Amino acid sequence: MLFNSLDFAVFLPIVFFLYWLIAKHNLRFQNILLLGASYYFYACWDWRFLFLLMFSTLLDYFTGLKMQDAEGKTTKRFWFWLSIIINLGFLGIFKYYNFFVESFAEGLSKLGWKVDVWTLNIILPVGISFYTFHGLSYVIDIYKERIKAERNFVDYAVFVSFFPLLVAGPIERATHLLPQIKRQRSFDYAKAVNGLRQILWGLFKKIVIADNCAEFANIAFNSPDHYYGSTLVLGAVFFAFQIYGDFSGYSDIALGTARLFGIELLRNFAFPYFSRDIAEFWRRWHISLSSWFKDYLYIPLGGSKGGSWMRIRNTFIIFIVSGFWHGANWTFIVWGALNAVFIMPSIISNTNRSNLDIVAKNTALPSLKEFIQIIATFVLTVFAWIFFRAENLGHAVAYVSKIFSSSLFTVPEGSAFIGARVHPLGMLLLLTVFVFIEWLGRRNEYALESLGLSWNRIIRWSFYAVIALVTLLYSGKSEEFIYFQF
Amino acid sequence: MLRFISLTLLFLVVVTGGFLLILTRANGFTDPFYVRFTTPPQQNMIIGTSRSAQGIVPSSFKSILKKELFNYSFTAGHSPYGPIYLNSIKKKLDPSTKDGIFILSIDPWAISAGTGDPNSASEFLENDLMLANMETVNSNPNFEYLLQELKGNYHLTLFNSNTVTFLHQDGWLEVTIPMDSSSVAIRTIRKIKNYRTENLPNMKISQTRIDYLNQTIDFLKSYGKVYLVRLPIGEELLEIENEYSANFDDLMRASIERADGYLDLTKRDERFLFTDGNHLWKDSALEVSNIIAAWIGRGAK
Repeated sequence: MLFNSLDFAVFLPIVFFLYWLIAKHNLRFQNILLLGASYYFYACWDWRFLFLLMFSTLLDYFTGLKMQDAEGKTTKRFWFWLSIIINLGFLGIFKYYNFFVESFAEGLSKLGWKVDVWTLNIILPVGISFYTFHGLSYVIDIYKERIKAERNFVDYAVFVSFFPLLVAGPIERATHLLPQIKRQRSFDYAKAVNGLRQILWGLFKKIVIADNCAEFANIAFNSPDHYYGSTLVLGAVFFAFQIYGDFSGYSDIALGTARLFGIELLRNFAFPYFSRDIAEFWRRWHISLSSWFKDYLYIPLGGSKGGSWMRIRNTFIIFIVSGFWHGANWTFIVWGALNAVFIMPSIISNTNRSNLDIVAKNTALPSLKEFIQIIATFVLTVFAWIFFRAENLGHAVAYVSKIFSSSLFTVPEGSAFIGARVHPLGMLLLLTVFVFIEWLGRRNEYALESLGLSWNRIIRWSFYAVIALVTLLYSGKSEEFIYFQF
Repeated sequence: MLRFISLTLLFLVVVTGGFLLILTRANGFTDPFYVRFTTPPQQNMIIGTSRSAQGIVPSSFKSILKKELFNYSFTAGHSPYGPIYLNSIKKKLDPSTKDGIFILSIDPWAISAGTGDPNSASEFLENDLMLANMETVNSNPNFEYLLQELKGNYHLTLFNSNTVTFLHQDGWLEVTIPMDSSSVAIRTIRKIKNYRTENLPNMKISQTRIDYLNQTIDFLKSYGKVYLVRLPIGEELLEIENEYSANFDDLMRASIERADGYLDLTKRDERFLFTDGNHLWKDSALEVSNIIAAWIGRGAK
């Protein structure tokens, strides 16, 4: 069930009413309802994989309890590694088996040995990377004695399976979400309205921005040989907006939906394209994943302790692993490595934490220096996205080579995009309006959070209605979210 | 809670109302089909695929036959002869019709199927397409069509830069594209390639479709006169068509006998212009329509 589908538009109000009208005074009933709704939501994708989700939940629940109750360190360590190995084993089989086997065979063939490899026709269970990471953080936190194991199975299962975050995050932590699940929740008007506003903005980002940009990006990426370098640059820029609109739109809908049920999820995006350097970009893009890798990989590896070489090594490791997390393809690994290279100057010069606040926090516009920094960061990001979007490394290299040809300085072929459902100039206008609204709302959690709150109510409602109308005008196709494949 | 629900509902009602209001702006520029489902039931109809959708101009018949015809043709994909199209024609026909005129455009592709078993109606590709889904074909505005068929493209009702096709109120699809010799040649080469590589090896004549053509003729005959017309096409396309179905007239014998007249325009000497070898250019479409109207006016046969 997609957030941008009619099914979800029916499902959400039903669960909302049952939750607040029927189960409102009974926390246990509310949580059982949330669990049932979440399992139904997941089963709508493929009911067979529901058993995998249940197994993963049971595994971490029981190993958590066993670690908690273990009397000796050896027993505790046994249960810990059992959980880690099984969790990563499932992830490895479903997501990476074919990649490793094929890469191994390809490596051997380059050495002159031909081998027949046994690949599996595997369907990737939707959300497996996300719920596996939920479980891993829970088990690691218990092992490290940061938290106590949860004894109520329903509460734990809701933590893993809560439907707004189940298939594409944000990647939650037990320390943040579990206490909210265990706490009595009452309906809060302001919070619910805030949730609806965030859902509205998320749908706009996905349906209007991402899905329309996708058409332009697909045209450029599907046949880079046919277009000028300048047209391919436009295609890459459209992809940058596509993936931002798609993923941050998903996160907005997830956070907004959770708010309707009185639950606050971790913020996942903080206007990343207004970043002044790559380090800032990574503090603002897919925050829940970046912080997960920081806490569970970077710091255990030694973090920034141990001198420059250690910092450089650890930075490369987390970026490459992060790239690999996205999928079993060398393109993601190169994308991760490129970001590591881009961030390196600020790591080496120890300036990676120099831009902690949002740009132009107290002014309407950025300074010229900040503006140049934003553009430079965006250019680097777009360059890296080419590898993320490409089908394989050859495709990425061909795309980049064509960009850096003499045709880079030719006027882009507007006619290349004529087949798309929006006229290229119309798309640029939509993007301009979008960036403008994002800029106005950059000091908040999401652009619409407080934008217009001081306006006359009729004007404010009209503004929301226009956003909703534009979203509806482009709706109906229910395109999948990019991050579902991860 | 009550405040939240009531304000949310109010917002949704306003937005949905605004959305539906915008949809009512749909017109002949929105897409090549919508307008045909917005008119009242019709008494005189042109039936067929895109060849007749573009190639037969209803307004030509008014001056000669004093009848208002309506072009209810779609495409070879949507409206070859079969159960789906017949059912839709039944819905579009005014049941009080007495002396109606029905022009059925025929060609080998309109009685063919590209499925494994060309005679299995349950496998016909149009079963999953627009005409199969349309319950309402006589409503203005037609929200059923707009909501189902414009999915992802509702904005076209508001911002439409399409200047290529315009669907007239009488169902004629006017196509305006560059007609310089090189543009026509490029489109014609593409069309020929498509017919040679896609249609010729994959399509087969379907007896089931021929039966449905006959059923369509029988059904319409109880409301007026039925005329069969084979529209002209470019030489190269005609060669392919003859290669595909050299005995087309024999295949059509039972249908021709049922009808009140058959006019084969592929055998005439006039020089018509085609946009792509397959579809008549609008000026030629007017000429052809006048020829058909005069033929019917003379008593046909």
